[in-house]
Amino acid sequence: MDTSLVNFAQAIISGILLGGFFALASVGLSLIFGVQRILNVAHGAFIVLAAFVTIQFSLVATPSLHLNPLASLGLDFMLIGGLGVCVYFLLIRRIENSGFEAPLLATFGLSVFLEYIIQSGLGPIPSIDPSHGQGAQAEHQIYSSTSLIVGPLFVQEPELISFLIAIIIIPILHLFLSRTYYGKAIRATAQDWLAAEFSGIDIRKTRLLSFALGSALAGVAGGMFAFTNSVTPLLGDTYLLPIILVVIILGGVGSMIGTLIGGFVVGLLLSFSELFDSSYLFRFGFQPDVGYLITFLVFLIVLMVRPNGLFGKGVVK
Amino acid sequence: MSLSINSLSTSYANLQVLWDVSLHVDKGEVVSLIGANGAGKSTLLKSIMAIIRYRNGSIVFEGQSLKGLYPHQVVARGIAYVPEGRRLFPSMSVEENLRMGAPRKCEDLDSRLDSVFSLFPAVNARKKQSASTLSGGEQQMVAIGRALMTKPRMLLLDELSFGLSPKVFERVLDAIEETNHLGVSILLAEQNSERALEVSKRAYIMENGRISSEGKSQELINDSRVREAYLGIVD
Repeated sequence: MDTSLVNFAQAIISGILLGGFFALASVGLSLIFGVQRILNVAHGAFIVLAAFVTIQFSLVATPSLHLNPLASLGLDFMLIGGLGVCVYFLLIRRIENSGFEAPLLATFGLSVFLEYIIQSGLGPIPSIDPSHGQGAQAEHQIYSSTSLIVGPLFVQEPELISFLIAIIIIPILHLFLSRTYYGKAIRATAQDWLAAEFSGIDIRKTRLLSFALGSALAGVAGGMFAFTNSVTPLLGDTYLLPIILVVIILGGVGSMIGTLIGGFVVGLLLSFSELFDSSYLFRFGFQPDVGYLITFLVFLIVLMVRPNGLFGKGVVK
Repeated sequence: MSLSINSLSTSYANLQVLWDVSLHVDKGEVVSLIGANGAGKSTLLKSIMAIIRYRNGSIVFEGQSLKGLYPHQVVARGIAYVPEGRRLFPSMSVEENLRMGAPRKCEDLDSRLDSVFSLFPAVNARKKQSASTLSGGEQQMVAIGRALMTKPRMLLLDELSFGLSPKVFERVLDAIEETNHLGVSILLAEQNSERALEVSKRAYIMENGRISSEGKSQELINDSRVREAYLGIVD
């Protein structure tokens, strides 16, 4: 096969897989933001925290208990979901009706707090799979991802897994919101919380449920993040959160399927811009991370044309 | 006595809105609450629903105080509320809006839906449509239907006539009377409506957060002062 054709096909595959991870990382915040109008800016820190849980789990449980590191995803789901419950009761519940800024500042503070804990409490962080990232040391090898190779194309196993989780969980979440009583009650609370209350819905329950579920999904995303990246404490804010916000707003706030598609769009943009910068743009002095420039540029253009994103109506539909 | 309110005072921050309001609704009765815009009718209904917290006075329904409850718990006690301006869930279908009125575990969901549809056949025809696409009258019917889905024993109605043509308002009032015949007590708040007085047996008139007069609706209709101030009729 022609090299440029191979590169093209590989960019599509990598972009879609990466997009699946982005969608998984974003869908929890999409739920929380769409339902409660709370922009939980600690969402990136939640993901990184879960990544650390998975790394620690792999260091301890994999050698001694012979557990697959992937088993930590269940732990991430429950721990970060539990963290979400605590944060909801201690922080969010007191300020959720006092406008947009108070929760923004409060969760920003929470994010700094969590990052500090991760940074100071957990020391230098080994990466699960030394085949990526710097500082790979063989003695820390606790997981080695296999590549599935089809002809000239290849797929990293953890990327495929996070893609599969995304395309299973997100449609299930969509069905939950559109078909079940609690899902509909969450949407009703999003659309008019006071009307939900006097229709007989316990909005404290629906808000807690959406915050806990959104956090738990950040946990699953964090677990997968540990397998595909070398993790540092600040990645939540410097890398994940900006991308997550682009994914959510591109897809349309409150639309779960929109978030999935938003993830694919951003994943493809990044992988294609990598393709271009290695072969072409680099010659004009663009930096290797020109992909982010392109992604944010497309984001701004889409918002100019469709201010509510590709699929959005503003709240969970 | 179904609902009884004694010496209720309500404030928004430092602004007192209700002053020593007392009112009662007997079982199966239709009572109207007449007053100008800003007289405190909506605040009174919101206080009953526990949407607004009150300091002084009491609200008792079927012998039990409603103090300290959340709105959804007031609904569970048997009071339903149709707010001014309907407040439907705009991105949900008519059927989903109605579903939200019923509790999560609801064994007679279908029969509740059927009774709403038989009260408002026009709503049945639109049940798959999004609530935001309905006309004002249809939205009012869905709002009443959603309240009836809670299977209330008492219905609070705020400004039903809002934005409705006299003909549609008439049809909505017919449905309210029909609901009352099934045993639901009604408290109907209206600004300027002779029709509200005509369908109710008793009425209260509110002025600046206080009950200024009360009595049999028929007597109030014939009172020239009331006719001039609230019904816009100059003899």
